[in-house]
Amino acid sequence: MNGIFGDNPARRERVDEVVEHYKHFGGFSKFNEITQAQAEGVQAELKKRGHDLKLTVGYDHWLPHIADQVVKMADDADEFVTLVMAPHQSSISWDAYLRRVSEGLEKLEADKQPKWAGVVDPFWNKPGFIEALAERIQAAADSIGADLTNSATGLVLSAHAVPLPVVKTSKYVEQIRETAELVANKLNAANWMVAYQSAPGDSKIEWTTPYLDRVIDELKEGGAQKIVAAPVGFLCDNVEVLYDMGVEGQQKCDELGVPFAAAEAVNTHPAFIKQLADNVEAKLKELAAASA
Amino acid sequence: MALTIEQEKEARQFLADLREEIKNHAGVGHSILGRMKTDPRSRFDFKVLAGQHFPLVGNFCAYMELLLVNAPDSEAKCWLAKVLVDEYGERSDGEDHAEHYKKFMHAAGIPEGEEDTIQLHPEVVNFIREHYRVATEEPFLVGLGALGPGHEWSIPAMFELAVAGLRKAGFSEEEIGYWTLHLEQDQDHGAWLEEALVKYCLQPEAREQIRRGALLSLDARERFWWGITDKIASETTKKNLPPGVTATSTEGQLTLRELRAKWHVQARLVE
Repeated sequence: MNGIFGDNPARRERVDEVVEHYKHFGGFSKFNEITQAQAEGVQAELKKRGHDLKLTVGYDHWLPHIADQVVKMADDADEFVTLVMAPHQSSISWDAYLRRVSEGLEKLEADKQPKWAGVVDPFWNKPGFIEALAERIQAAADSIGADLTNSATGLVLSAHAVPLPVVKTSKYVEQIRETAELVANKLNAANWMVAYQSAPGDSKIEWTTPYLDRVIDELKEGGAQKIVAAPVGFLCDNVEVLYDMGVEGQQKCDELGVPFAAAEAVNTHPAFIKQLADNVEAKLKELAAASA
Repeated sequence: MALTIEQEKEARQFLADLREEIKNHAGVGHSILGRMKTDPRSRFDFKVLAGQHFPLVGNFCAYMELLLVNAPDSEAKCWLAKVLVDEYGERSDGEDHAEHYKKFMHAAGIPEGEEDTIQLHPEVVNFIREHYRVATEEPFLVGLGALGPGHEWSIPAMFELAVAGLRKAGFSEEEIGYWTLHLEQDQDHGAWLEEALVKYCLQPEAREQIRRGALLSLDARERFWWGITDKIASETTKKNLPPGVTATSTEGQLTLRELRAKWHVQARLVE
């Protein structure tokens, strides 16, 4: 947790709270394992298309760090692109990763600087991402016999809450909204809402709302008899998805007496992996053309 | 008026509770501060921070002066005046704090004369605006809560973490004099303040006003740190990567120079 909050006694309680969430799942998250599998999937897909790339994973909050990976890669690559594993853009969900790439580049000697250092375009509205989300949601709805085209099924499309000071400089909220609309349209969903989750309870300022529990209340009050929730702002089943949506969403719906299903994140869904490969391929072509 | 033992005990308990609440506020415990100790830190991070933090340093005296005008008695004025004398440079080689801060800015890489030409995150502007509002529009004790406990009891805890990051980024002790100076001076200010506050904490309404002021300031501080986080991430991204890859926009952001041209702070007679 120090990777996120750092070493600050003022946040001890919040850290303890999140540690308890990890303990619920045996003390660890599958985040790294899934991210590695996504990377291998993209690499294999690109290889099929004739791009024999070396793909390396780096993290902001865990080892290996992104900047270190950039330095390491410079030993045997002089062209590289960065694929940010975040669907929606803000300074803390997108630039936070790219800043580490930038720091890695700065550590390189002049003769090791890459010929390219491109950044793959984001994918919040790309068809493969939307298709993967829609299929995950349909599977969750089927698991409780919920008909998404009927307004008696409430669909919650959830993303990580961000503090409003951060929203002021980016299109994060608009992008989440667009993803949600595209997914809902693809599913012909009759009764859906965007929700935000996982804001730290000890923050005293406004974050993006409405929160997940309030949206569940609202859907129930509006007549929903079954509720399906989906992590459209997340790329893998990390602890926030599994706990804040899966466990707490289930608890909330149990209290309300409403059947509930949480959709799996896109994880390694083939359509999603293909979309990532499409985006990487497009960027490679663009950079090659520009340097020709 | 002499306080009874019971009154003094109650007042000091309130102040102890308030100190604890401030210590655990998310504005003091913001992840950017906690990560000063755990993350690698570069001079560039602090160049960005310096450009955004300077306007707070440069306006602090003005809030205090405005509050002093409204102080109800000499005792309160004395505390405010003592802090102001430090801010004007009495215990920092005759340099006021803003001048002292400029030395740090130059060491961080901001050229002389360009200190007030940096586009400010909206939450930097909001922090300043909120403190002018509190100092001039709220009851005196709300203002005192914001500029007293809201600042003097939180700054040492925040700056201790910032100093850890500054040292890690390679700044010399001379270059970070502004920061270390506050670790010492604000301990003094905090202690003076505690004594000055006791007599104002006798009534529940007064205690609530002081607490409200402190929390208004710290909420603005939490927003401010998010603004800094936002700026550091985006400016570092822009530094070495191709144009257009950042998620952020600076459209409409004003500089301190532009704000000064636009804002007019007045203490005037109203009949």
